[in-house]
Amino acid sequence: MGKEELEHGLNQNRRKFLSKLSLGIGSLALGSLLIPDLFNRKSAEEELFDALPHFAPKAKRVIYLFQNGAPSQLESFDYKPLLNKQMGQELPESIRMGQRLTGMTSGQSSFPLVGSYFGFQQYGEARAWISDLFPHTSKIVDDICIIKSMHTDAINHDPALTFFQTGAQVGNRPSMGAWLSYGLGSENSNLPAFCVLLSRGKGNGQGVYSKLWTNGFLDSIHQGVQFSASEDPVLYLGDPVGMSRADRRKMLDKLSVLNQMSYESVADPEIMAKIQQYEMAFRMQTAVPEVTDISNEPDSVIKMYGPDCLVPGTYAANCLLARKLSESGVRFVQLYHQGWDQHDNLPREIMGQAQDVDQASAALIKDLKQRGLLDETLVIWGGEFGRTNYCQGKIQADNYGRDHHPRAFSIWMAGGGVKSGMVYGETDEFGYNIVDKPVHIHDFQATVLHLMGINHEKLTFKHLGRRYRLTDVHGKVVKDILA
Amino acid sequence: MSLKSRILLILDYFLIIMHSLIIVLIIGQGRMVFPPLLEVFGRMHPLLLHFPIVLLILTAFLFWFPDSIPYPAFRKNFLLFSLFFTGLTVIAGFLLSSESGYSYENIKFHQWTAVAVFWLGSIWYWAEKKDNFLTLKLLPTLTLLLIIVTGHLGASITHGDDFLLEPLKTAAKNPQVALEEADTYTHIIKPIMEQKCISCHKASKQKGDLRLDEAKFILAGGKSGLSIDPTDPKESLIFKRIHLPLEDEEHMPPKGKIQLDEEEKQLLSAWILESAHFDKKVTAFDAEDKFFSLAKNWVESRQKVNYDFEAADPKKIKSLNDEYRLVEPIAPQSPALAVRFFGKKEFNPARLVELKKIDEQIVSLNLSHMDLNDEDIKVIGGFKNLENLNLNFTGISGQALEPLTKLRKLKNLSLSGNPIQSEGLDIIQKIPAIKTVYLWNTQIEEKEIENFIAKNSQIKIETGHRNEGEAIALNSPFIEFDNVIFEESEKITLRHPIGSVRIRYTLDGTEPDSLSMEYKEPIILKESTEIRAKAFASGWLESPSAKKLVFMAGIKPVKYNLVYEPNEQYKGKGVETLFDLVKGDEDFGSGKWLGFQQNPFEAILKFDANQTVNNISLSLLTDEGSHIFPPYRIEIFKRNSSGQWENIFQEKPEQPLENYGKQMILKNISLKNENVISSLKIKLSPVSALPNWHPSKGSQAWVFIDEILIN
Repeated sequence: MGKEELEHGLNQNRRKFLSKLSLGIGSLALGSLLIPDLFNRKSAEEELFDALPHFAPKAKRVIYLFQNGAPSQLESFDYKPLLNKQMGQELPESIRMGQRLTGMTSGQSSFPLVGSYFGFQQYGEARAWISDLFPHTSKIVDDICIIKSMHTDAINHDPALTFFQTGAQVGNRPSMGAWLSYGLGSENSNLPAFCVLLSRGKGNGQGVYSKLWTNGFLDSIHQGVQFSASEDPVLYLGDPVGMSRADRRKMLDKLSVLNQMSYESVADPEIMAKIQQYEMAFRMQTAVPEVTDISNEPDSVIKMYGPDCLVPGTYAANCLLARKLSESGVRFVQLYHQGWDQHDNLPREIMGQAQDVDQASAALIKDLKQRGLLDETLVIWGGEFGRTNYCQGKIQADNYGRDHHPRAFSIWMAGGGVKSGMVYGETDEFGYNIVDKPVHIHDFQATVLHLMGINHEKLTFKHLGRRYRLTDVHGKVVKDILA
Repeated sequence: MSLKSRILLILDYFLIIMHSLIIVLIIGQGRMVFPPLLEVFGRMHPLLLHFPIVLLILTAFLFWFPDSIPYPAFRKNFLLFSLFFTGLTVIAGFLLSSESGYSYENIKFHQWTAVAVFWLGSIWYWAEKKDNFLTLKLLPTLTLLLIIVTGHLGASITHGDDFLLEPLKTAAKNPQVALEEADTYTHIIKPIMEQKCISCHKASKQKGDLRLDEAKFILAGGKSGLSIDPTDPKESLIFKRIHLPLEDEEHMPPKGKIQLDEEEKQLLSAWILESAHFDKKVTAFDAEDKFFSLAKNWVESRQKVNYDFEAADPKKIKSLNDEYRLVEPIAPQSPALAVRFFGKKEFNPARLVELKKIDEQIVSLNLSHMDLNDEDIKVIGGFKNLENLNLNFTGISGQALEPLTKLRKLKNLSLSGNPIQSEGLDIIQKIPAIKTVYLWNTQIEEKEIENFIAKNSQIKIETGHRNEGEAIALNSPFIEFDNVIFEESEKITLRHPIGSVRIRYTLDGTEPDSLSMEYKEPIILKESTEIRAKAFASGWLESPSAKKLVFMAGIKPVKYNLVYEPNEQYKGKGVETLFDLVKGDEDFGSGKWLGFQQNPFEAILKFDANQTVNNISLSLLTDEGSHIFPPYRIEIFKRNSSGQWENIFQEKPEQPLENYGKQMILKNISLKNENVISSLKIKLSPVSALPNWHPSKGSQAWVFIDEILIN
């Protein structure tokens, strides 16, 4: 190559520079076609959302019938005839193994075994043992999966309850319903994704607090919305006297214009969220009365749930409302029925509690089934822990009490991708320790998320410098109970 | 001789040496044994092969454009250099192929094209002296084409047959199969092995003399033993090796290769442990078998993703989504869509018609509680891939279902709560793939359904809960009013949550019956009254009666005071609380109640002139759980003419035997004789020790009072 040529090549002028540059830009543009989100790259959180659900969900909705206070597994689903045989005899140390007790019985000088006051029969294809306290539940046994090997870390009500609902014993994490609302959003955008219904039996009660349905560190729209038994099911939703719906609409439109202006000047996304929440509340004003009105329910449905379901605030009424909410696309309906804390006077009190919940719980399953909704709705029934196989206080054959027992207890699940007609896990013949297939709370939570199409290890939220999950750093999906 | 010339001369000789060596290798193929050092050289084949490809391409360019280089010797030397690497590569290839795991059958094409490249290249080198069409155009081009073919064939050996074109035909790779048709091996085990095992265990590469690409080879096993041991499944090598820890030398797939995921591992294990059948249908397994449930999950989860239609335009889907209509994929990455409507009032037929834009993709449609007409069902009949349809409580009749018979894939149909009669069954029968129908709360007779089930055992009919015969009691009506204690008049409303009931009531304290007054409009009361009401409805037993008392405010004393102050926590507004006509609520801490525990309640009331008192009502609260009991004793005194307190009434109320919860009690005391009174003393003594049944037995009970009414 001649020197001139070389110099000419090095002699860069503007025209040359620009024409080469245009080539460069052209190829940049061409290359960028292969990166579809080059200019609208999403944040990690947005990517998380795009990935949800992680796989095809089995269940679209959850109804959680929480039996608050911890119903005794030994009077419901865990049949232990040995306890009746050895009534009053001392709990063997080889079984207790010095494990932790609550302060209420740790001072007891003796731990006399106490058998169930109520009889047990076998039902269904799985020949599941169910106590005589639950005649209606025993009829749906082919539709449910009884897990007899649940265990938890906490030994007192509030930590146990909080643990069950939020995956941690201290109350600063989001509740399960809030996680699902965060992960999957609302199905029906005219109703909250997470609703809470409370009822109370006559038995010894333990309080429930709104921290159980908290959004924790998640956005406040994921908080559970409590439906009360009063004339105003959702507080502050109705318009004040004298305000028509048209007026409200006008007011919201004007407000939205103002909010829009403010958004344009400061671009805070929270402002848009606020506009949307006002709009949702406006739609809820018609959607909520529609869903809480039971006057159009067929007689057979009312009879199935029992006449209690016509008394607002009862467990039966809440079950019926739960079905209506779920049918209307509410992602997570959380019920609490209080009064299961039978430290004493157990036979008498548990009879009342069982009567409160048995018929309506079974009716809920049948009702979902006859509408073809059971396949896509996961129903969970259970308390926060179990009760001891020994008596708290003085033992009498027809009057005794049981203390808290976190090492083994029973719950049942139905519908939404759970095997039906199944009994899972086993406790020893004293009903004290689990001998087969233990299910920890985190496993349970992982399984619920799995059924909803979520990988529990991937549903995270970054807060205070670390990523949080419902299952913390634990949890294994219980594959054996998946249908 | 310069160094350059010497090197070129050596290379020239090497060319001849390599030719001879290759001829030996061809002849002795399969019979030769090499020292380990040569095996190492053989394994360099994958590295070396890149050199001849690049170099020969460059050489071809040099020959095509002879003017581009300053002196002609350069291109010849370059060609020689390229051929040197070509020869090395070919030799290394021969050495590598002699290792176990490669059969001649599978590498022969690659081998011969490679040798051909070398020969052709050499001819080119020797013929180079003349600049003619042969050396400048034909030989370069042929060599180039041949080396591309060789490279491709080689890649097929290591990466698999379809490696190059695979991205173009992935769709066909995961054929959708229904559970009923799924074969154990073909549809479940084979796809897993194809993805994770056969890259090393196939015809062209048989590591450990094992092939896993066909059933007969799997059964034959390999060098280390049986991959599946029918007599002792736990000894099967596949089972054992996939469960070894990853660090283990023998773990399969080897560290660094794509591993089996948990589900695949479980499937393979369950398949081997449960007899490892090859031709068995999945459905032939027992429902209890672990393999069955795993396989079912496997097939169904793939079904949800794999459909043979294209996904709809995401913009279209987005435009169809609004507050009252949800359109979303049934699973991530699935082209199939589920659609759901909300809000009865917001629904109109046009919104259903809009879905025609995605008529191919809709597989699940939920219209429950929307008002539909026959036209709407015709629209639904056009959604040809529909599998699940929910029409609960949409008001449609049986005949209207006719268009659904066109839906060839419709499996689940929910028709609960519709006025469907028996003709609906005839139409359902004609839906080709129908599996489950929900017919609860329709107008079809039970008998007809029984007949239908007898004829169509493959269709599952869910009729749900029927409970017409069994009458149960209604719950009591609600009696509602604003004030328990009213001054002039009070409006009473009766209400029942079931619309169809009749409420009958009495105002004289007698039990209502079917002949009592029927409630039509609110009742206005102008005196203290006991209201009782009962609910009646056909098909139900009458409700227990509801009972409420309302009181007309009575005489207010001119002066009144308490002998003992109420407990500091429950002191309300002091003695005023008793005559403020404000009824306390269930919250005894609300300040509307007075609470007494240590001291008895003792109130002295003075009247203006001498009053005739017939009736005294005490409004009390009990809540056993909170230690609030009825008074142990109620005493009433009047001041007689001599200024002494004279007892005119004394009673020990009945004590509760268990915890009844919060109850508001109006203790009504009728004074026997006509009493003309100037001053009155009322004393309520709390129970001193809670009864034995109470958890806090022995401690002092409370008395709570909020109002005294005197008439």
